Amino acid sequence: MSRIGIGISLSVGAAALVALACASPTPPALEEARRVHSAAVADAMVSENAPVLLYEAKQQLDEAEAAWQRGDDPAKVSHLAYLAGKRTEIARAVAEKRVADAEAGALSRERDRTVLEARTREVDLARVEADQARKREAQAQAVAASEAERAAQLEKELEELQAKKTDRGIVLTLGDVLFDFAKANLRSGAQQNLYRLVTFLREHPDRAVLVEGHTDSIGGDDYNLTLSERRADSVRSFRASNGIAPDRIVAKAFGKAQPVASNESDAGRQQNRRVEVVILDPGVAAW
Amino acid sequence: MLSQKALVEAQLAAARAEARGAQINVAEIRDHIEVLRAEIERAQ
Repeated sequence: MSRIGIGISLSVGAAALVALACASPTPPALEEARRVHSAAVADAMVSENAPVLLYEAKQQLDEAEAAWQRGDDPAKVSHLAYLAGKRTEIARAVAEKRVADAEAGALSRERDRTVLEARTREVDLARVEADQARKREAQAQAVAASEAERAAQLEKELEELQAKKTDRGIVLTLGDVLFDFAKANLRSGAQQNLYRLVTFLREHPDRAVLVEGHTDSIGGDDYNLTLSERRADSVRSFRASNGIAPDRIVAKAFGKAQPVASNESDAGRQQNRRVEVVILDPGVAAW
Repeated sequence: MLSQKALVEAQLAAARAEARGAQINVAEIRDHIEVLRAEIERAQ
């Protein structure tokens, strides 16, 4: 046989093998490898994030295709196709990791910003609370100072009125300087003392007073009782006419029944002729 | 052939594990951000 004849025979043989391979059904592993690879190529997530691995998987797939075209052992074709499919899946997994890593990077930056925002708000809130605490403290100090000032003022006023603290309240004794002998109308000079008391009552609207009239023992009981009652009423009227609500003032007459000194001497009788003003504790009614 | 198959399967398992780890990391960061936002909301 000539060389030409041998060449023709080989070519015909090869063509026959290719034709035989093409006529056989495609191995399932190769079909699966093609499907997996086509899907990966069509998926931008894979093709953009793992292009090199996808290329290597394509080379592996081409190798399987070539083996099948050559009519290699079907087991070998399936093996190569299997490897191509797995390499494509590796490309997909790597692409998924890269996408996740990129997302984690962006989220980490967002988290850093959020942490900063949270801490900033914490600081702002702490600052606001500190300011409020300072204001409350300042207010409390102002109230305390005001109360202390008020207490000091009260002490001073009581001192000016020559008052005494007793179980009944604060007792201010107005001696017979208020009235002329056997008279119930106030002396003009007495009003100065009473103005101070009116001022005190205006500044302490939570206080009420009892005005108690007393006489010495000169004269009959009825006379002295009436006189002490009229004197107490004079004081009460004076205050009422100076803006003190009537229900804050109650007048009582005791006549000579409650002497504070002996009625045997002028000095004692002078002490007994008196009006006592009882300034009741805060909130205690005069009635 | 067997060693090639085992190798590629091991590579795939490793790649999938890494991908899963990265996705868990993303979820954890998201959760942390949610917690921080809730803190901010409470503080307002």
